[in-house]
Amino acid sequence: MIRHELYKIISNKKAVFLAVLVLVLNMVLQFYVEQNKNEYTAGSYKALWEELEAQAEAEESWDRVVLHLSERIEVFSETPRAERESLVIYTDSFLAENALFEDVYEEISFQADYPGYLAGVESSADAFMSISLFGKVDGYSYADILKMKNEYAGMERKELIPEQSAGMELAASTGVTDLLALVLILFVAVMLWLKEKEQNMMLLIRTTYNGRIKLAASKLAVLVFTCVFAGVGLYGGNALAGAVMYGLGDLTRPLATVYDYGHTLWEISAGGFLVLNVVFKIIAYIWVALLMSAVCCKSGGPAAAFGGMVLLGAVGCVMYYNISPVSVWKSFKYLNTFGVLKTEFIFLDYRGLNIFGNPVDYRVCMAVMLPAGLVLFMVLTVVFFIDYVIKGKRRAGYAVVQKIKTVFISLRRRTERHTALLLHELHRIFMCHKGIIVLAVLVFFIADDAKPYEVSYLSMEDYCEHVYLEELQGPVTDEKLEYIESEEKRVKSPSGKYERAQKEALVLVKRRLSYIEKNEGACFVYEEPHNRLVADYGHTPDLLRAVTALIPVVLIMPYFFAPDLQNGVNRITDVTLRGKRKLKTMRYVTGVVFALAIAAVAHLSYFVQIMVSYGVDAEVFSYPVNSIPHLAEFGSTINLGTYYLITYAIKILAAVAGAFLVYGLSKLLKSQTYAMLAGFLLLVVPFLVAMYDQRIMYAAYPFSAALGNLFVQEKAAAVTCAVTIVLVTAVMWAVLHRKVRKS
Amino acid sequence: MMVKKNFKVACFLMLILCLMGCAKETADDNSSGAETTTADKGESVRASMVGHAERYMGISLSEAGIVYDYYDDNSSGLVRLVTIGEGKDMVLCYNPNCKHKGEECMGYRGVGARTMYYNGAVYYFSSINIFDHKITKQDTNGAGREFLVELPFGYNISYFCICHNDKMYYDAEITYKDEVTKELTSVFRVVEVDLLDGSYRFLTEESEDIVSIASLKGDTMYMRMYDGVDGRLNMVAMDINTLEKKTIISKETWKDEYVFVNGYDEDSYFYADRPNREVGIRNVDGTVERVLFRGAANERYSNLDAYSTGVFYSRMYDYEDEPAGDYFMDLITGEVVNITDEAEKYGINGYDGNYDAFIKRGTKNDHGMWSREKIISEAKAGQ
Repeated sequence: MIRHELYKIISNKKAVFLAVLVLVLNMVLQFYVEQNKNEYTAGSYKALWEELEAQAEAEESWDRVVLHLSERIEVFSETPRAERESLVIYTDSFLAENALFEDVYEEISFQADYPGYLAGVESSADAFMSISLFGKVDGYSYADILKMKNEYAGMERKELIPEQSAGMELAASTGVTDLLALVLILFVAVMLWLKEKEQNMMLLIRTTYNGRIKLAASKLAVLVFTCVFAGVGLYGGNALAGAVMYGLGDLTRPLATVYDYGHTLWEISAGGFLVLNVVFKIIAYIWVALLMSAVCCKSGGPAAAFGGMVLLGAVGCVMYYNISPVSVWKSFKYLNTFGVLKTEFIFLDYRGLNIFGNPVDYRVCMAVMLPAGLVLFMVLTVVFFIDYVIKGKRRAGYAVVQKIKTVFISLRRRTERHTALLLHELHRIFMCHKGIIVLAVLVFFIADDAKPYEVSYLSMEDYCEHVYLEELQGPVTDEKLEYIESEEKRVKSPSGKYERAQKEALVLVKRRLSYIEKNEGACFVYEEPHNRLVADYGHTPDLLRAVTALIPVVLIMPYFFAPDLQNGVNRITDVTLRGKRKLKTMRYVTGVVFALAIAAVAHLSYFVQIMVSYGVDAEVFSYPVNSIPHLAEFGSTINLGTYYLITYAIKILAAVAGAFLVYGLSKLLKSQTYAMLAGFLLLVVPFLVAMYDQRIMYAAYPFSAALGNLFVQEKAAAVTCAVTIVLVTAVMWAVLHRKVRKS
Repeated sequence: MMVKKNFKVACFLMLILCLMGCAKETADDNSSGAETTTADKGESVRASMVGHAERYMGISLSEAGIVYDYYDDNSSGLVRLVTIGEGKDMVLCYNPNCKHKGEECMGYRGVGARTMYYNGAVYYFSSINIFDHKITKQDTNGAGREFLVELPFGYNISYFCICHNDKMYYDAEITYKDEVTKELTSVFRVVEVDLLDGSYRFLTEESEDIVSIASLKGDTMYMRMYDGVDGRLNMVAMDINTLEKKTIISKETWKDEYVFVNGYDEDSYFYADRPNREVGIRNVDGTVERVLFRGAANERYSNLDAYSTGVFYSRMYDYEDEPAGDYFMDLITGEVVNITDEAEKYGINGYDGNYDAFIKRGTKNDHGMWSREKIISEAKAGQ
């Protein structure tokens, strides 16, 4: 059975394509990110290390090398600015050279003094334990310090031979690797658990001899295989990238020689670490895969399954990124559905987590959490799988549910008793397929997030600048210049805190005035609310809103066409009078209206929130767009209102394009689950990748229209997006056309 | 059956999660009293005074030394500790692997935030905006920081803040925005924050003129209340329970005759009588209870730090900027010890009676704290 389940995955072209794509993409991103990580290149790093190794061999001492390095860094700081470029050897600028030397010095000096570091840990622990602030013997801090001291006391104080770490660090780096692994695991989990459910095969399968526990176990085994493949493939790729770019060095050297892992409590070799790191990653992947499986088995349909998984992932991310590492709640930062993937912390250092008021080593927490989760989710998956609900089966609470239903029965009959095609369609999508729940969740989140807020000013100067710019709003006039002058005179000798703030704010206003004089047509505008809307502070708000708009599109759109295509109902409807054209047109129109509405609500709610919170005057929209310094390059050709109109139109149209893409995928794949999955991978994952690591914003380029500002402000993003839309349309059309001709 | 099972599993998981989260440190007994610490032995810490703490210009005292707001070039802000006696200066973070940069560090204060140490916890005041601020608590013996309270006003604790009986007192600056003129106005009030439950109350009415706490002894708070008209100030004593106020030094006599130095107890305070060049204790009703010392005709006093345990002062000659000598007077025995050499050696420029220790309030993050026992014995040995 396992072989058969495995064969289903391996023989699936989509799965194979995705696996290859994920592996290749991971390698490409690793190379790209690594090349752009530092001011210097991998080549410069390697060259300096080679020189230092030769030097150490010649002098037979690393201590001298450390000394020479520190002297060279000192020379850097003492050399006059004009002469600094002459010191550049390995890189192309002084700043890069200095950064390279400082980084390498930090690495070597730590490695060369490893016993000193361990001794320092002990003495530092003793010092802190003797201080009464931390020295309460039954206190958490004391126990934490003592535990840390004991853990490090067990480490052998051996001399380390310095060796470059970048290769090993790259081999173990997580970056987007885990995210890509999750994409692959999600795909396989959905294929395994939802496909048969969607085809109503479960009704038949569960009645067979091997159709329950044995089948569930086989599916779980395939999932484990996928996790192993993802772990080995992706981290193997990372190791390859590390080896190619820097070289992994001597794999028998202690792990502590790898700078990032210098504080490790594991006395293993670097090679052993590479293996163990992958093993732990695989276990974490299996943990997540089993959780996904439990959600898939418990959920009624693909939308609920995807929604559940997105929700669990989002909760984990919120906890991981929002809980401070020094908070009393820090255990929740690491022990959640997202934090569980961060197994690299197991090897990094000692990390005490607050469990029931006692410090517990992070490694111990993971040693409990991982197996406990594995067992729990495995049991839940099997239980949910074999307990698959058959319609009509009586369960606990059935009678109560029936009673509640009877209350609404007459009302339901009245609403259902009609012949309107549109109502039937809406009822099918939103009631039968529970699209209403997706909508309700979306509306709840948007309504909660879009409430107007009280504008926050970090200082009085900020506030005064706002007041002045509002007062001066509009084109520069002689009266306004006189006003600025008179205000300057008034607060020349400020009498209090408020006037001091006004004086400082006037400096900012004058700076704005000089900007306006240099940019033709520009007006005085308080730009803070607009900066938020035009992505001056980064694209994260746009990314979040794009994901918010696209998730419901991906979850609901497949229900428009896919069920009929999947069940073959389209063969019947296609020959009916209304089914041939009207039904299809109605589905297209309804879908477009739905996507428009969702995107408009998701994007415009933020726009309205900012406008209301800041009380932006409508007149501002008529000012040239270069009144906002971030949009200076657009000149005065369009006004601010037009800019917003264009970007929001693009964002909303992008959601409609997304809806059409999901339509296309539904027709192509003839499966709600696959359409949903493909839509998720194509429309949501790129934005998640861009959010995860802003250095790879390029991931969002093919769908940059959904972000609006990125599309308008970055030519490369606009071109990539346009090309993607043309290519995807052409490919879809060609494939669908071919299918139609074949049929 | 299945529903019941699911419900049980869910309940069990919830219970585990709740217990994990709620299992913060067992609340310490915050009442005044000595803590059982390994470091208490040999330290001349007056345990009974731990229930009271004062913050001076970015530093607050603890039984272990001075806890201070460290300012660096990047203004990233850390909290550091200078140990008593030894003068070991360290970031208030015990993780040896920490690089003390950013939020991962236990001693990270954050840009613009200020701290106050009291009874085993560091309190972080951080501005949310000009209208609000919040206080976060970090029990130094506990598992980490926790949010205490968000207050709907800015804070103004740059100079003085007092903690007493698990309550914190400081000057609140409440900023109002005029919706029509858009102008900002600030009013001042003294606020009391309960450090156990985060509740707060105002002790004074709104005042356009600055109100600042000078001292708190028992239930009596001594406050400086500025008069915005002539810029002069009245010294007021207020009962923090009944909120009854009484002017103890009027603006007419302030500076010309009397200067408030510190509270002595609930009913009396240390004063400096300028014309008579004397320092003493005066009753809130105006009666002089005790004259501590009187200077010669060409002498005056500076660096006055007076507590019920003793008074530290520098003697200066008129028309000279540098002190002629530094002295400490034990108020119980009445003994005066010349500690000029020790003050010069360690840079001592103050005394705190709560911890019975001499302190150095440096200008560039160079603070220090030494027990009175050590300094006095060194001074006596030198003489």
